[in-house]
Amino acid sequence: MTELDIESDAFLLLLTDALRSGPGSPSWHQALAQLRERGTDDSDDYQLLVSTREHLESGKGYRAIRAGPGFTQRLMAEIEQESPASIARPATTTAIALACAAVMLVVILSIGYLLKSASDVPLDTSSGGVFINTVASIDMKTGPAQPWRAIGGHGLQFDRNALRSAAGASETSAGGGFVWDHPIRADEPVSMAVTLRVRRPQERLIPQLFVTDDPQFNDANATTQHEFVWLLQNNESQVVLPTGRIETQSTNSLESRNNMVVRLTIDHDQAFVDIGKRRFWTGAHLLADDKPRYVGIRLLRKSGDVTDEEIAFSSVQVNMRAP
Amino acid sequence: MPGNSQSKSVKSKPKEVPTELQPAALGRASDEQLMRRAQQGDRQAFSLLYERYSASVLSYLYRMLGNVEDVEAIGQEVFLRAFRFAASYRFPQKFSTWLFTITRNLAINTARRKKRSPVRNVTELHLEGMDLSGDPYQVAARATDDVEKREEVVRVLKALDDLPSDQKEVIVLGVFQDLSYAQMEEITGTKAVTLRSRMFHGLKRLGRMLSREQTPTGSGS
Repeated sequence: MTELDIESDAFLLLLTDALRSGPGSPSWHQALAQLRERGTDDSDDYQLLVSTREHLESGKGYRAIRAGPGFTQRLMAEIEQESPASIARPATTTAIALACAAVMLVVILSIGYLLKSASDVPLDTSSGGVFINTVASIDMKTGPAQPWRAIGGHGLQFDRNALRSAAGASETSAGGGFVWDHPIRADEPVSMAVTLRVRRPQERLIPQLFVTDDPQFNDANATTQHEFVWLLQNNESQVVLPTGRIETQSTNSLESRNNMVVRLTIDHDQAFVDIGKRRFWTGAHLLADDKPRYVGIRLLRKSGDVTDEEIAFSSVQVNMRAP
Repeated sequence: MPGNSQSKSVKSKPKEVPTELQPAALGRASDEQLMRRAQQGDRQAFSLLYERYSASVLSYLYRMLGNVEDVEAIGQEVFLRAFRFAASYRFPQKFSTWLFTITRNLAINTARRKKRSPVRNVTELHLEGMDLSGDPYQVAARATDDVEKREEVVRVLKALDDLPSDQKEVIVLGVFQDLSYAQMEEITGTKAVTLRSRMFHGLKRLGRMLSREQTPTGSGS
């Protein structure tokens, strides 16, 4: 279809106006008068246009539709049901735009919150997701290498791929274990993950995970004067703060029949203890914030008979954030 | 000479009500004034607008869609939406332009979904001078006494359906609904110069279609 030069050709402008307005309109009469005067080659075409337009005008009313009473009644009944509140409500496009803006705001705030959370709270305590860098572990076949250091007076042995208490009777209480003899800065988050084999929880044999800011261990029971401890005794988990206060205790449910995975994580001032996939405890660990820290494990043995079968460490890992 | 103490009684001037909201005989009010009232929830004003425009809207729909079933459903929806979304009308915009924009959009959407639309029985609309079951072209033919002219008119109306939709639309809006190019520009979003061109070529094409039909029978003048 060729484009008409409607804007500059005054006759075409008049003609299209006449075609729209129809017979009887002023523009129609003007256009017809000019058409008669011009007598151009296109006269036949223009006459055809005029004739077609006249026929359309004649047919104007033939395809008209008017509403019947039923149509009108139904419509008015529906309009009556429209509440005034719904009349003034914003257009759909406005509602959609508002909803989209709200969603975008929520998304932006969520991302901001997550970023802030990631920077403020550096700990992924349950999954260990951010602590992907294993900096130390204990080989349960050959025993630990440097800088792991044995502590305490109670003898431990590596047997059947686990670290166990030596069997036998004792009239005194004692403790023994290993400390990762590497000072950890107070602002450096660290996580220790341990798997315990627990055939039957004991009152006399107590496995512990600890973080201390005091490098001086008692020669007999392998404890320090200021440490944060998780322990298991009689199937009860406990958290003991450096002040000596027992923060919480609860009955454990072993993940499987024999295994219990415990993760102890600390940062500058907070500690998280997870047992299996469950958060057991979280709170301020009360360690000094200006001293280096040390992590380790130990078994405390109370006086009386113990066996080496009941409780053992089957894995020990120390994890830190990837550099 | 004692001065006259002229007591000035200050009357509070009544708050001026916009002209379009002042009480007036509804029948004399313009479309735009009625719509302004409808925006305030005046159902009577809206009823009057419905009376003024129902035939126009329904006829437009019939000419564009070609079947009465769709006209009934969309016709209801047009006026319901006009009432429901009256707040989106901006006075003093021409009411007919606003209403036909709604109508056209609904007609286009329906045409797109047409294959999925269920067939409905229609009993609530009337085609002028005809039975609903009848062929509208035959009805048109019956409605005029001039045999030659009525045949020509019927052929023109039939040929209209064969035009490209953009040419058909400008003829239906401009010729049958008497809308100006400015209004059509606003409704369709197409420039007036393009609409003029479509009008010109549409009518020309329509005329040629009719000429070709006439030539074999030798009845052309």
